[in-house]
Amino acid sequence: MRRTWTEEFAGGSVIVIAGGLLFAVAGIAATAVTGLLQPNIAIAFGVLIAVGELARVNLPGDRSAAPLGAAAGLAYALVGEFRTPEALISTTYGVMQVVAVTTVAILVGTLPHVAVGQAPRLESLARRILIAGFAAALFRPLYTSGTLDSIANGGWRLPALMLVVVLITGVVDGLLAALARSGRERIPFLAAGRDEFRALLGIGSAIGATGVLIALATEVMGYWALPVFAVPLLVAQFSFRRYAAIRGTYLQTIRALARVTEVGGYTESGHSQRVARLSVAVGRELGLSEAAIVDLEYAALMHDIGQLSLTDPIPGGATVMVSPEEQRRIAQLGAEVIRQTGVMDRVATIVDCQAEPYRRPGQPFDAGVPIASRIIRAANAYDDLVGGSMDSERRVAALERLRLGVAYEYDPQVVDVLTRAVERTMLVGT
Amino acid sequence: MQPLRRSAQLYVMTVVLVAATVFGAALITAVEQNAHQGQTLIPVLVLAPIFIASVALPTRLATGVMLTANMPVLIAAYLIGGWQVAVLVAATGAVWIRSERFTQQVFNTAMWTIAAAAGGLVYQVLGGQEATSWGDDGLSPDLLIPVLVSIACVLLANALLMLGILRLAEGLGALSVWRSMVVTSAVPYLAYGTFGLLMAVLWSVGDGFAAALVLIPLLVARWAFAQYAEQRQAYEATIRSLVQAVETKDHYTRGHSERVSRASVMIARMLGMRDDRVEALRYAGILHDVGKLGVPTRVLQKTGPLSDLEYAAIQLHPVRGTEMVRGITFLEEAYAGILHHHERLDGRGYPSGLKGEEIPEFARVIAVADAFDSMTSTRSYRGARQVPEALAELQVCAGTQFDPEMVRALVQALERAPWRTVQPADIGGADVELSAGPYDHDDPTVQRPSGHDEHAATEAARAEASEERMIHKDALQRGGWV
Repeated sequence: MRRTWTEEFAGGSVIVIAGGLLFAVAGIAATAVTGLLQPNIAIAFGVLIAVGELARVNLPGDRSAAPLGAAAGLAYALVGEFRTPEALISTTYGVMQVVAVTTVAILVGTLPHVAVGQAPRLESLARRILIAGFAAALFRPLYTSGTLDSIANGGWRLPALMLVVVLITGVVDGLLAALARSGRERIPFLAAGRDEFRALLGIGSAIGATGVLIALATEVMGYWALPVFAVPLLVAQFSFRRYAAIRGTYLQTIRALARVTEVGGYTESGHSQRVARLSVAVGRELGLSEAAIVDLEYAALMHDIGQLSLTDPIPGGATVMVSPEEQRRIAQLGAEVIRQTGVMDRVATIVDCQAEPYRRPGQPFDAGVPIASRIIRAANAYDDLVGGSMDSERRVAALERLRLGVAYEYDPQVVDVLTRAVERTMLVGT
Repeated sequence: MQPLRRSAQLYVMTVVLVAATVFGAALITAVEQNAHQGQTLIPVLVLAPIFIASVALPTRLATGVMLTANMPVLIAAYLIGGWQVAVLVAATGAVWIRSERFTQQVFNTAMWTIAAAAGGLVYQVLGGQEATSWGDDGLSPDLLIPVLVSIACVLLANALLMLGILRLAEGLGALSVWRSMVVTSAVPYLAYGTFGLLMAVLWSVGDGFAAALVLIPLLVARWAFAQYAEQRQAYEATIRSLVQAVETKDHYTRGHSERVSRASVMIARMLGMRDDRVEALRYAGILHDVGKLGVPTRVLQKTGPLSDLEYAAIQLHPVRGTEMVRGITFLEEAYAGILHHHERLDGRGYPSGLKGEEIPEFARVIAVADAFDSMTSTRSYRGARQVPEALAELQVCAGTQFDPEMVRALVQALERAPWRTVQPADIGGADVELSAGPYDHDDPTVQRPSGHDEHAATEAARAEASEERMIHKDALQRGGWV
């Protein structure tokens, strides 16, 4: 998928990229001045980082990650004693060398990806450099100054200290990722943070543990520690990749099957996809969690599936034109179909409630209607009125109609966000 | 479970008795040793919970191989603290003994205890040092032989004990057990051994705390795989019931897609197709008729003869179906199967009029499965045909309409596993009456097709498919009697 420059540098991403660049330049410059200390160790870790970068995966939720590369970077920051074939030596390199080695290795490992036209997000590269540098900044001064000898001497203390460093680093990584994502996908920062920390809990703990393990084991195993401890992480990475792949396939399949209403002549072509895209944009901006966004997307794709049970197609498939009773019946039929899968109850509920008005005259607001249903209701109405048209007058007229329905039909907050989302695409589209 | 034979009972009792003796000896020497050097208690306290957890939570690797961390933990235990520690840790597996499968679990615990003692004692005899004394000069190459030999002994003890029980209790041939235990498991075992060694290495630098960290990547892998398996199951369920919903709507061929998928898989297996292709074919079978949604319901349900225009509309369904699923990337090979499943070998099929080998393999498989299911299902104009009758009809058409190789494969497959004859069943769910169209375009005996109908019990098909789906792996690889 090609990304535009505006996407690449949107919002927080630019801060993360700039930070990474600053670090990288400073690290390489400083290392160029002082020279590379203990070059063999640097090369060994550099190779592992580069290999990890080469074995980059897409984790669930469109997260580009290089678990092995990240773990190797952390390990390089945390190495204390290192057993070379000749002797047991204490590492003396500093923070800047960690940054320099990480940067160069990441660039080398990225080159093949760039060559085949699959450049990773700059932001994710920058983050990996920042993270290795951050962990190094916490640990290396303590170690090289000899402070650790007095406070973390022997037994469990050193591993525990490394673990603390890794934990703090993980928190920082989560914050950086949230910063970038919230800018890129227009998600409120807190919501993005919640998603990122949840995602980090899985693969992040494996990365952190592997980093600590490699750093500890070099004292006994020397260079062997690097490949050997990479194996369990690669197994984990492999499982994650399959998980991400099946999630992708799931979404593709729902998209395909959701087109039955179009192929069957019940709805306009592209309707379900457009409603899904708009609903997801609105849901993100409203701060829905990642899992809720997935449900929202599925429900939006299948929101018209109940129409298959109608004897005669609605003219143009526009449910906004039929009576509320009919709308409710279609919603219920659709929900029933979805419920039969046995695994999409939340999606079925969302589809079921899409015909509920925001508020009935004289009655209080019904909190039982999921926010996702209210989003789909508004997005569907908008698309029924506008269709695939790029005509801005039609769009404005449709938005106008949604606004008029705000009191009872549509959730005012949803309509606000939806209006903003549509106006953005109008600026881009025209 | 059936009661054990007397010989098997005796065997289990003997093994348990030996294990109990070993345990007693380990306990006594360990208490002495702990009193003198104080190096036994802590390894037991750290490793026992890890061992119990690994017994309780086997890790399923992405490849479908079960990986239990029991053996690595036991190997780590004797490398770290000597055979006594390993035996004590193995015995704590008893905590996980539950009343169901009681005998197996008691036996397994005894077996682990004996295997741990065997490995630990061999390591000690060969002069292996305990990890607590490695720190000063690192992992010495002198340890390599003791480590490898002792791991082999653990494997051997495990294999021999399993050999006995499987032979006596389940009547399995000694040779096959030997092959699956030793020949196919030797490599995983060495990997296990390495893993145990790693824990010992970490113990030598950072105590039990560091050793326990090794488990985190494995637990994460396990979690991710569980997520994957769950999502996959959800995917299956979703695709099946959505396709069914689609079938219901158009009043035709309820359950047809499922059965075509099943028959296609039978043919594919008989042809020796690669697993991932079988998988794609399975989905292609489920989805082969989705394009019928594009055919106006009026045409599908029409009872009289069809006009040319209407027939043309029906002929479009493979194209529509392919258009629909084009976005599903992992089904790439399945597109061709869906698009061409109505081609005929003599070139008189649709939509492209391909001939012979020009027709993609998937399409030739689905064509046979499709016709077979169509003939063996009840139609309003005739009852369901018997399987032999349908096969005979397929053989008549082989060479002109169907690929003889596929027909042969289906015949062979059905000799091994009989087809479940489908009974008309009332399907609940959507409030649509199943109406009966007279003819089926999939039925090779019908010249001018014009409608579809089918009744089927889908539960059986669903159950069978889920059996197929289960990643079946040799229980022996788990290193225990299950």
